[in-house]
Amino acid sequence: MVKLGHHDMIVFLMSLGAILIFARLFAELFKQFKLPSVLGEIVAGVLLGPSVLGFFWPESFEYLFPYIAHPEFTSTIPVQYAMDAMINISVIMLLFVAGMEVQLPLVIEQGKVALSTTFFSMLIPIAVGYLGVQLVPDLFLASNEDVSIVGFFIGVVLSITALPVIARILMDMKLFKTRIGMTIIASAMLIDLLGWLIFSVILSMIDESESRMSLSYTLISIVLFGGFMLTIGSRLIDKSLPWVQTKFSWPGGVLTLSLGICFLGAAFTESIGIHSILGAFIVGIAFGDSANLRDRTREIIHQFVTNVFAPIFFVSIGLYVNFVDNFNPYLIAFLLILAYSSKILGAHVGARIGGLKKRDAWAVGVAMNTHGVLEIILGSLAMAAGLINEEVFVAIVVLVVVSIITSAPMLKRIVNK
Amino acid sequence: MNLAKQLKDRLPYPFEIIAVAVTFSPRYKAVIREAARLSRLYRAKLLLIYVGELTHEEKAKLERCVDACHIKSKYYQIVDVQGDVVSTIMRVCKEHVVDLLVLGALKKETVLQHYVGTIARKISRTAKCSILLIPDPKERPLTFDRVVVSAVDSAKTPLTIASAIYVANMEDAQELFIVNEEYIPMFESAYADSSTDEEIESRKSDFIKECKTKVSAILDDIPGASSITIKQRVIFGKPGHSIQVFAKSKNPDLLLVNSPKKSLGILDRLFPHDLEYLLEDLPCNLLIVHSRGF
Repeated sequence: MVKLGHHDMIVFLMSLGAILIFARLFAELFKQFKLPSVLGEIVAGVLLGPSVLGFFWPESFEYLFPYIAHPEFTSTIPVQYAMDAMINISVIMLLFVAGMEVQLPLVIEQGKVALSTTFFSMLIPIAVGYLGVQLVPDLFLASNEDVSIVGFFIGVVLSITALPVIARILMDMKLFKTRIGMTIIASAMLIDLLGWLIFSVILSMIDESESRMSLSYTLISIVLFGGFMLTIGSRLIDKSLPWVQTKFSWPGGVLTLSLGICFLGAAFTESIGIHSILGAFIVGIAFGDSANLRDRTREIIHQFVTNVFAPIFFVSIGLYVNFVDNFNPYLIAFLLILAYSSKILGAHVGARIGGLKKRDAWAVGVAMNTHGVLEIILGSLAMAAGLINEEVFVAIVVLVVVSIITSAPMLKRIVNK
Repeated sequence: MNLAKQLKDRLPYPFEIIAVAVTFSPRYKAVIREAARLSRLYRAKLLLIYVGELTHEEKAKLERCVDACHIKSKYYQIVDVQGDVVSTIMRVCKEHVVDLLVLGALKKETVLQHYVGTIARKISRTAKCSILLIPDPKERPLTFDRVVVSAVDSAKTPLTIASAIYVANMEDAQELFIVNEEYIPMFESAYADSSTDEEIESRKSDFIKECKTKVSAILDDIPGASSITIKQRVIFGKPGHSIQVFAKSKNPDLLLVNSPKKSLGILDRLFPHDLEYLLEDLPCNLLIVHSRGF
């Protein structure tokens, strides 16, 4: 059995400590500029990683993160395994929390306008992303074999909307409870669900391991698992929560059980050939949907995951990727053009067909073009699976940053017209 | 004036025509007595709707039951019509311009009943007039002393509050709770990573202030609002579910809510929201106010 030795333990704990402290400091700094803390956490990673610390103070970088500085010795450095496990658990928990935000009843309540906005704001970006990669495959360094899958993946990234970011913008602008606000939120929720389902299929398509399942098996499994969890599973959770919340110690009892079910769901989807994140995401939807889940419990789960585990993942992005070497301005510009044109247009068309007025539909279009955490997770998983390279990943991160900075002023401009 | 226009131009109150759906279940007398009490109090004509063909004995039974409630024959009418139960009751209500339909209902349904749908629930999900569901009809009906009305963020809410004030005045209720159900689905995640407790609390208290101001503005426009004791509350949670929890804790005699925005179907039962939470387990008598064309 591989164990962490004395020195490994010190390195592991120092890495974690540095990651968490730097992440918090930069999150607070970014908060002063009214920017999401996730951006601060990524910047903290860039500063601690090969781009800055590794470049200017290589000895410090090697001491603090030897498993990153010397990847060739990865197999002999057990810290790498420990860190990898921590990052994986963080992503699974992040997806669980992301799932908790999806409220399917809200989508059903919004009806036609949410459905048409979802449909067009997914269809057009996926088509544009796909065609964009076909047009300049060299820019995405996609080989002939995987150009279609890369195109499809880029389309999915362009189609997703950052729910928490746009929710906060809408709340701050007092638009949340308006028809525009509800259309945006309901559509973004449905897109999240569909986006992760599609991405899971993409991941299973590029899986070249021996345990790979057939596409039809994967699709049937996803439908059965999702169908069960979102109907019977969510009802069971809803009915048992009042009992758990009164009989078990609070909030510890719910916190432990919810994360336990999340990990079981993740393990189940992994075992049937779908990525573990989908299981966590769907279990999150089933949990978050419960009307019996106390607001305070929900808040504690959010606080726990977003302030302890999320920073580990987001800082690790900057640690593993050299943002300076992989900064390709042409690719970034091209991706920004694809994203802004396709998402704004797609959501606008969908909202118009759904019955919104022209100005309101433009507001929906602009707001839906807010990208965030999920796109970064998508990108990092795709990079880990070998679907995209580091340049494309850096371009996705830049797209997220630019869209977060621009969406609020653009939305204000349209709404105040 | 054609029927559609007549219905569209009619406010949900006063209750001038009250209907009751009749079956010969063990509770039918109690349900009729509840409807008869309302008919007397609100000076409304009482319509007894029976789906099927009534025999002479059955009709006489119904007449005896209504007569025992001291309602003169000119103030009530028995209608027996054939057809599908739900659509027939709804058609009769429309033709007679019924203001309030009284239905006896189970407090809780079994899982199968919930998904298949019982008559009272089916009507509640699709009706075009106000519905009063009575889960525990009494042989000696009681007045509605404690009334709760749900005030969600909807264009229908002012009329529902006005209806609640009308009912509370007619019933001489001791207290009327106007409960704002505030639901901000993304609140925790939107502010989870970058807000202090103080900031979150201040945002929440801003919401509460806004809600109370909105309700006060509505009350200013409703005549009769000043003659009853009104208590305002703001609760956070999913609409329908949070008011159900509130009603269970306050144990009112009557709860008033908005009618659904659209007819509710199986998807709404699979992914419940608003009225579906209440229909799942009725906390007390439930009046679903239909705002008609307004």
